[in-house]
Amino acid sequence: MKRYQQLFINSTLNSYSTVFFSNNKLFAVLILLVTLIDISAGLSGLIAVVFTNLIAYWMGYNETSISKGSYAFNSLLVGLGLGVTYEFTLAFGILLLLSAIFTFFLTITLDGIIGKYALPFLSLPFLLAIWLFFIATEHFSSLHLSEQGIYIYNEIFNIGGMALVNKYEQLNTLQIPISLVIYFKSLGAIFFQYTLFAGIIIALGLLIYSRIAFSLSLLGFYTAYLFNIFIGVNLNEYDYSFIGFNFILTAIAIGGFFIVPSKASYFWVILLVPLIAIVTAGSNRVFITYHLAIYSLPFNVIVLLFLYILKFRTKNTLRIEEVFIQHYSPEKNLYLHQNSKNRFRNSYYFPVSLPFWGNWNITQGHSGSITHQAEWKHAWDFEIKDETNKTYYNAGVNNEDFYSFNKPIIAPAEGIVEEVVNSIEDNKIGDVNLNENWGNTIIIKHTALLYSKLSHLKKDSIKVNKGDYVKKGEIIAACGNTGRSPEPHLHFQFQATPHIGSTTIEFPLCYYISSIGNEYKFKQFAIPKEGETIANIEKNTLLSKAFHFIPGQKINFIVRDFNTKAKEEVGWEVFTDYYNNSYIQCNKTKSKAYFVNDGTVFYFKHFEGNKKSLLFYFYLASYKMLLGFYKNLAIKDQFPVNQMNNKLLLLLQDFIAPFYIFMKTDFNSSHQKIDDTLNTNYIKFKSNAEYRVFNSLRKKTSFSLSIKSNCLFTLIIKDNNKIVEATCID
Amino acid sequence: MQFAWSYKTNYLNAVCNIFHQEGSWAEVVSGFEYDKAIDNGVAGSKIIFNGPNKSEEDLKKAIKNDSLIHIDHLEELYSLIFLAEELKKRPKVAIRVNMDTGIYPMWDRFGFNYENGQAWDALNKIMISKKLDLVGLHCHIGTFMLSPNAYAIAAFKLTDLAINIEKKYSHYIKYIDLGGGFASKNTLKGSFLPGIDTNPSIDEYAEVISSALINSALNPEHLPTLILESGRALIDDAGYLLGSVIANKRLSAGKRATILDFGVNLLFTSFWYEHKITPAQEFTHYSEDTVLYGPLCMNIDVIRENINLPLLNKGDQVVAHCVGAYNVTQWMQFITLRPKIVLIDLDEKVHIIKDNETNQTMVSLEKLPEHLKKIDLK
Repeated sequence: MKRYQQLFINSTLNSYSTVFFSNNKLFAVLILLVTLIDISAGLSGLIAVVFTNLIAYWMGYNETSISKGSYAFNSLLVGLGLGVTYEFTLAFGILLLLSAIFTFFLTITLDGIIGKYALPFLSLPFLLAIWLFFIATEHFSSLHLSEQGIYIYNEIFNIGGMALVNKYEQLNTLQIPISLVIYFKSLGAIFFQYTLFAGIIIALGLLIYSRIAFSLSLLGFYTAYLFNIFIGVNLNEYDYSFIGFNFILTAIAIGGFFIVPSKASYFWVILLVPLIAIVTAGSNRVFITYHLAIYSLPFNVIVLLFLYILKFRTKNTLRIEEVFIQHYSPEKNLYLHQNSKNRFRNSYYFPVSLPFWGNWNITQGHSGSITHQAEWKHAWDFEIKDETNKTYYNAGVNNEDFYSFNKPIIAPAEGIVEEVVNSIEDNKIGDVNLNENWGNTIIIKHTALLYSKLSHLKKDSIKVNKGDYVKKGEIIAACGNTGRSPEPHLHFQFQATPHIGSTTIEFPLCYYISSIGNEYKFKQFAIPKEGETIANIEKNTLLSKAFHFIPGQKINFIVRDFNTKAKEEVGWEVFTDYYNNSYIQCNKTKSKAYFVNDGTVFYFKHFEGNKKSLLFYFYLASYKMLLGFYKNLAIKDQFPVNQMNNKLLLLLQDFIAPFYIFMKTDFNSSHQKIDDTLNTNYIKFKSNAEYRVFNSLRKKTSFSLSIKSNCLFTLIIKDNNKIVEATCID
Repeated sequence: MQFAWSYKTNYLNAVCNIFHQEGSWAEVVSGFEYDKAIDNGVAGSKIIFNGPNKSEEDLKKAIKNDSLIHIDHLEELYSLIFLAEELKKRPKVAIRVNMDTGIYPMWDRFGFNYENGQAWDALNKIMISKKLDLVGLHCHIGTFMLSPNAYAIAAFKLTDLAINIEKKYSHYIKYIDLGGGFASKNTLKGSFLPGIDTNPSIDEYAEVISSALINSALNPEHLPTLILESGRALIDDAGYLLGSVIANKRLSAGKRATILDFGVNLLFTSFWYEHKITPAQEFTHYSEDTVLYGPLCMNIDVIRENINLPLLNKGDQVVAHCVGAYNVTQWMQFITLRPKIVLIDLDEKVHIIKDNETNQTMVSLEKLPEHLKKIDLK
């Protein structure tokens, strides 16, 4: 029952706020109230929303979409449009329901047709439906034109008595510039409420919902305003036909909703506004002959055009980034996009590791001086070196004297063997075989247009055949000294075509450790350089086990506050949703921390919920964990701007965020202690979250996280003067 | 790859600590050696506890310290399960496996046999008990192994067990311990050619062992660590015994005999090896087949039955080579005291690491009953 109640409330309210690309409940309530100023129109809208959502549910459409209001907001607009025009009678009621069904069908159809192109249907269903219904109903004699809006004072008196009438009067006689009046009226006009009062309420709601959206609405409107003065269009025309909102909606859509808010997106808003003015003027002339208003047509045309043409770019020279994961808020879109761009910009690369065990030195890197040149410059040569930087022992006159010789070569990633050469003799030290330049070679196809090539392998050491499927880490050959190779070494490169001799491509290695002595650096999706000593990540069993959270797993903590001596039990549970996102949920606060464990690194993607919960601190403490232990290894990362914050400062930040971000929160962690690398029973990390404003440290929360052999966590949190210890219990 | 210093080879603290400093763990075979390793500062989890005789007290200590207990027989396995329950702790265990590697004699008295299924049976008992944490597999196929290939067979058989454990229980073995037994440069008695020329080099052992492991079907994502318990191969060549000539004589058959001031009491390994003995000062060009006797008045006290040496005089000094392994742990205090031991470091500085024994050292533990305290011998 509770679920249906929730679905009903969400689907109804979101249908209102979705018109402004929001799912803010408060905003929705404000809009709902505004529509109810014209009580019959408001009710018509509400009936259309509820009816559409019921139909959608009954016909078995996606519940998430229903609850997001995606299916009903066009019906809402149609309902409002019809509601302000006709008086509420039985005949109208039936017509209203029909319009809701029709709009819903159009919504689904348009979603299907243009959704394929990853485009939103916006308010196209509304436009088609309302035009049709107005043309059709023109001669329906049982419908009566509504008198609402003509006797506005009567209506206001009916709602709020004399007091509200006075308020309304006061508001309308405010000495505000004419442009602002038009701005407010344009906002109200979206919901067929042509009063200043309605506009101010909606503007307020818009400000609560998003500072970026609010500033964009002003930007869009005033650009239009200035443009109109410039070309000499009478602004009162907009006031009269109430279509100023096209500029506002387009500004929000392009400036911050479908595009990540940025300088570039603001710039494009300014560029697109004159186009809307042209479309408005042009289409108005056509539609007027049918006695139809153009409503949001210009907005739909321009937004769809612009979003569509963006998809065909081959280079992002405009620095316009489309929003991939919609958070229904320009702020969140911006902060989370920036954060994930920094954190995961490389995660679409196919993960490739190093093709060997242990530490190898890059004796020739990309664009190396010896052979890695021109079209073959993206390649590495690897050799094993000892502490004295030598590549051999004994006299170094035989291949066997070289550390690299005959060492196992493993598949850097899974794939299919495309090419194998296995019969070229190993050279004597110092000799090179220029006729068979690459020597014994394996080429593996990993994915479309990604092949790796391993060369100079030892004669007869190759264990795989053409067409074999190899697993990552499988031994496939031994390092040798064949081809153009004066001493044993491994040549490794990526290429887009399957041939021996293909030109190379630049492609990063997924994860590796770069070390100088006992100092380690963790690298991800990077291209190691000449002279670096690098190795694959050696995973630690205890860490891998401890951070291997499985759906259904329950984790319980006892939380002790050192100051107040308070003691509390906290329980978590691990879930996986149907988008395959895994998250830990706090039983009490219902906070969610979304995580990913790719086998080498455990990291949190996102947190939502109570920022005083233990789960939030755990999210901060283990934001990014390498699942191997390297003493003193430091790992850095950044939290989204809106994650740890001062609410007031954040409001300020929101306004200027597309241009400059002055708040940031850094994550730092270091590997502290391990009792034993073979049979690990205990590992300790230190980490902290540093919150900075204009680069000056404002707040620091420090953590000490230890993990014991039975995978039990102990987290000590130091936040200001508060010290809290949370210990896992079985 | 991890070394574990075999204490029984040479447990002088100075020697042990050299290896611990280099990163070696400790491999011990008795409670005495175990305590010695702990006293040397080795973390409990880095001590491998081998041997057929571990007392209940020893086992308890090892369990508490998270040491790696290599089970030798079922009785030990059962008492570990019992102790695990008592101590509420999961002991970290491995089993010692013996097997046919083509070597004679086959050391089948230690651990569980591979071929007859005892090893597999013991592993199942461990896994099913759920009380013990199976972390490794161990074997020690013999001593002074002159055939590297035997190690390849041993490695193959242990990985086979590891793979079966993985298949049956999805449990990954953390290490494979191939023990020791690698030959030094000494010459075994009865060898036709000197050991320095014929004994396999460490590289040869490394090659076969790593090839066997690399070519096995072990899951490359969960490769076990290789542990070696080499003792002799690391220390034998580093030890020298200095002595001097006491006397020369002609035996009844006319053969020359030289009596030295050290014998089998100090050089226990002369029972196994034909130790290389060289004079330490200028000597004559003339050399002669000689028998080298020790100073004990026992017929078995022979250092070399037959060695070609220049003529030595009373007081001349001699050096016995390759004596670093098994001597300071097996030598006997028979009729005389044992000498001091010195260590020469890389800067050629000399350190005394064990002092001369005195009469007091020997009698300090003796106790005399009251009635024997007075003797009246006139």
